[in-house]
Amino acid sequence: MDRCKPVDLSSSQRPVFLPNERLLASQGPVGLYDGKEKSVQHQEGVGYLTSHRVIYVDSKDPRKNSVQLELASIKSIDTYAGFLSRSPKITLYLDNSRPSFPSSSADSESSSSLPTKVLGTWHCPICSFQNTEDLEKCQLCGVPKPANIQVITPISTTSSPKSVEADANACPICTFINHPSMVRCEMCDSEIGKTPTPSTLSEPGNASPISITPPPEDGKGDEPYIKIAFRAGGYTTWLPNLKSALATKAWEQKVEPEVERPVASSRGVGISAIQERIEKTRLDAAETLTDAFKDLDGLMAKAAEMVKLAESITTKISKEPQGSGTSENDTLALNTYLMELGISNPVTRDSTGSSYHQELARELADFLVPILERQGGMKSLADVYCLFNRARGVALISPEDLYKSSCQFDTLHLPVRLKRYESGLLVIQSLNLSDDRVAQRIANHVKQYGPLTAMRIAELENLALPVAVEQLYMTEAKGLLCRDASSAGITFFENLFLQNQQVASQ
Amino acid sequence: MQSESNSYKFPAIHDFPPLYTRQPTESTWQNQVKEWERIILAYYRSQRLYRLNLVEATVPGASPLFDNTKIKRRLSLETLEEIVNEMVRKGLAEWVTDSNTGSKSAARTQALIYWRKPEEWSSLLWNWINEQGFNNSIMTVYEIANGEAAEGTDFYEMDTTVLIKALEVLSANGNAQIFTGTGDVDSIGVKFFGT
Repeated sequence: MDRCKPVDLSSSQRPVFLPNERLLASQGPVGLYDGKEKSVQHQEGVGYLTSHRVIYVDSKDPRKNSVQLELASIKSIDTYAGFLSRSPKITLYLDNSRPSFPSSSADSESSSSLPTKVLGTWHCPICSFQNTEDLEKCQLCGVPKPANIQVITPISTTSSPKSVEADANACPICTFINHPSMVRCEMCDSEIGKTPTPSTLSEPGNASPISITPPPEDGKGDEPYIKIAFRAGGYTTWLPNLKSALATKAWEQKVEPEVERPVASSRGVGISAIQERIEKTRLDAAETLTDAFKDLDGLMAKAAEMVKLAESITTKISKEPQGSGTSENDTLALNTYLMELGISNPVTRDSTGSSYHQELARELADFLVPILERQGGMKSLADVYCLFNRARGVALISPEDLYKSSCQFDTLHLPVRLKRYESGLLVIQSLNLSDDRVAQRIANHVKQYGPLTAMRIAELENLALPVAVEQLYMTEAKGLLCRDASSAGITFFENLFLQNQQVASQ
Repeated sequence: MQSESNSYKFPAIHDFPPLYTRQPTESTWQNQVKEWERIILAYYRSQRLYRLNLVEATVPGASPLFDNTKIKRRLSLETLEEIVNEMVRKGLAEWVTDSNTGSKSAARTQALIYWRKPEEWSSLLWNWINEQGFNNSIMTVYEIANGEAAEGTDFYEMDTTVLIKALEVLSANGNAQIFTGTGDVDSIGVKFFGT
């Protein structure tokens, strides 16, 4: 457990994500084991799996007991599917050698390049034979390698497993790229030096064996490990996500644009070529299918970009010294718009599973607190629905999900609450806003401006009309106002009846 | 009468628009009723009125009491009925019994407004009887309310029904006896006893 670090949490007890970090799955309740022992302080909490980290947020004392573990420090994983009352567990073996907080880039580059070292090739100037980099003489004609010859590296720096594999199966004699299962070259029948490696990494679609990398032979009992126990499911969604996260190594990617996976050149012969053709027809079919959704994908991509842009502008503005040309009001307004736009890591049903509504509630609370502060502390659920979905951009939620997660505010002790007025109108208001305070404020407005209609209150308080009506009724019910219903509608007056009575009784 | 009612000055609350809307909040409503009681009693006392016909009173322009042309507000029949009900409960008014059927529930269209309660009227009458020396004499109801002797008293031109109620109180106290006449209300006779 000493490898785990404390976590930055937001006000609603959700972990703060790094830029580029994506939430893959979350699950509660989970418990942690440090080695074989149960970790006493970490027995009931929500587990988050992101592209960079495994995060545990404790339910009882989130500030103190929450921990995180970098995926980079995980060497291998093991699983236990659970039996009877024992819950399923994932064991994370930690790398002894590396610090738990690596200065990610430098460290990871060396480690990633090691197993996937790819040899370049040079063309013999005499016979044009393609020799591997480490050969000093041409393999075919024996001419020594000229000093200034260009070595061609076959694939881009980001090494894709597929190309590695392809290259590894190239025949050393005729350079034909054989299918991985071939032991002898299909073309010239010579030995393909390497025995094919049954790599699970490269074939994610496979029914994969349990551990990603083969467990180290040299007594893995010595290695520190942490177990995550899934007390209420979630194990099945975590496992593939964790595996793919470990394989993707998102923490190593510094550049945003994804480098397209180079496709091994097709030669039109051999088993691999046949396989390729089959694959190609499958891809073609898939493409026709996805064509229909292309627009939607484009929109999704744009939305994600917009969110990113919004974030960058916000940070830029906050860095810029005040009063440099733009008036403060403009900046404020712009900031408001941007804030309403950017939720970079929306909680989705896929990523959270059974705790979806709780997580959504937390996200919602995070989102609403600053907005409520600015805008009178109360919003109708319909307004919240619009604002929230606009901020999410993509991954929209249904009204029902919004309502269900709003119902969780109380149990999760979040700083907002759902309130149902007698008319059935639902609003979300911040906790520090009590009816008495609202009533007092409304009454003061009436005192200041004279008789008011709901319309005017909505203007003054920057509220939606139904909310203003409800607040007026509530104030009236407290005896601070009385109404005058005429053909022009209901106007609210100071409650002279009660005041007269007090004067009379004195 | 018309000129009198025009000159009558209502309290300031009479021009308060919410007064003419039935307040949904219970505590506010109770106080609203009290305001109306005060206004109605004061107006009836000043105008020497005894009867309130609810339907007629709430017709537009019928009564300055319930139709405030200045602020263009008028009390609705339903609200007035609620108010009178409250007054009846407090003994400040009484629904007029239909003399033919004797049932109160049939129509609540008319009420007697007691700016003085029958007990107060009865003691007022009794004092007057003693002052005037009408003890042990028989008088008709008409004589009491409209006779020369009654001129200048509070019960001059008093509503007969209210007067009979006051006399009934005296009768119950043993200070008078009522003789029902031929059926005409005005011809009912009363004998006052001595002190």
